[in-house]
Amino acid sequence: MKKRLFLVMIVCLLLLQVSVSDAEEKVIIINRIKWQSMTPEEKVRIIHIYREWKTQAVESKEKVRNNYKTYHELSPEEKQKLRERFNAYKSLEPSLREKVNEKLKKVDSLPPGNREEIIKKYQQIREKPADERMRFIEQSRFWKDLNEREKEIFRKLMLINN
Amino acid sequence: MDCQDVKNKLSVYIDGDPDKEQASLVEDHLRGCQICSYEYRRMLKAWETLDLWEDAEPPAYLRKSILYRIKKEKTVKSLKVLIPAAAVLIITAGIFLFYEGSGLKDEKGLITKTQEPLFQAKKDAEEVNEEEIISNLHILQEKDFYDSLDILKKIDYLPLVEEPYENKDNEKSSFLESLSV
Repeated sequence: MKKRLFLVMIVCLLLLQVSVSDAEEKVIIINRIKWQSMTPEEKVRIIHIYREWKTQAVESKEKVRNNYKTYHELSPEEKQKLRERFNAYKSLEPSLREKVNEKLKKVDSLPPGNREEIIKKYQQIREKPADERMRFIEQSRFWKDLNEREKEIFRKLMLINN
Repeated sequence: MDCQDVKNKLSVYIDGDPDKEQASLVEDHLRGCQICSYEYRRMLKAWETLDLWEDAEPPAYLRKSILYRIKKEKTVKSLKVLIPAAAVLIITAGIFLFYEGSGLKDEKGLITKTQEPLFQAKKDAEEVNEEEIISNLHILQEKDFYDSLDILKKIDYLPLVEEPYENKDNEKSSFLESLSV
């Protein structure tokens, strides 16, 4: 009985391995077709990104790969929301983008208990209707420091498909 | 034995030929041939003169002068090799310093404009691993997006960082302040 179970496990592991390598193989085949059909200008752009990529630390490359996996595990609605947020985020002035990053780092650096409290509070706010949520946000100091254009961008960033 | 044979063996005969038979043949010929006999006497005289020569020790100044000349010739010979080698080194160093100082540090600066695309293509081929690009293309195409995914997911928290917070004493402070951050 034990032997059979062991054999079944081995077969399952092998099948899993085959399916993983198949998926990777598939991605590479698609990538190869994409690469071959690219214009020289597009290739130059990708090569430029690739050079930057090569200089990055292993950890940051791993982070991007994990983000890729995470993104592809999301629902279509969540994907759509992140895409739209990204477009708004891209349009931020570099200085403002830096400010956003700093604020988020600040949240990340909070002690675990406090951080959870913030996230819990955020989830409570998220459940409220959009206008009420917006009123709450508009009370924050962060919001008051923004100019009209920045506020407009943040409305997009925070309220998109919420 | 004819005259030519005797002439060839005369110097050996004068030295004292160990082959007695040959020596006796030479003697017989010398007795009957005036020309060879004359030649023998002439050579014998020359040998005797050489015997008179003494191995005189050269004067010190002469020895010194000769050794000095030999040394000088050796130095000149060495200089003949060293000077061109030093010149080559100085020229090479000069070119290197000029190249470093002129800001043309990358190879690109030293090539002509017509060679530039060729050079760039070669450089690209060296640096770019096409297979690596292909295997990561799905990420590279949208690297900015995947890079900022963490931020995009958390951006909702942002206003909470400085959200007004009413504490127990009914004083308004930021949420972070309330958390003693």
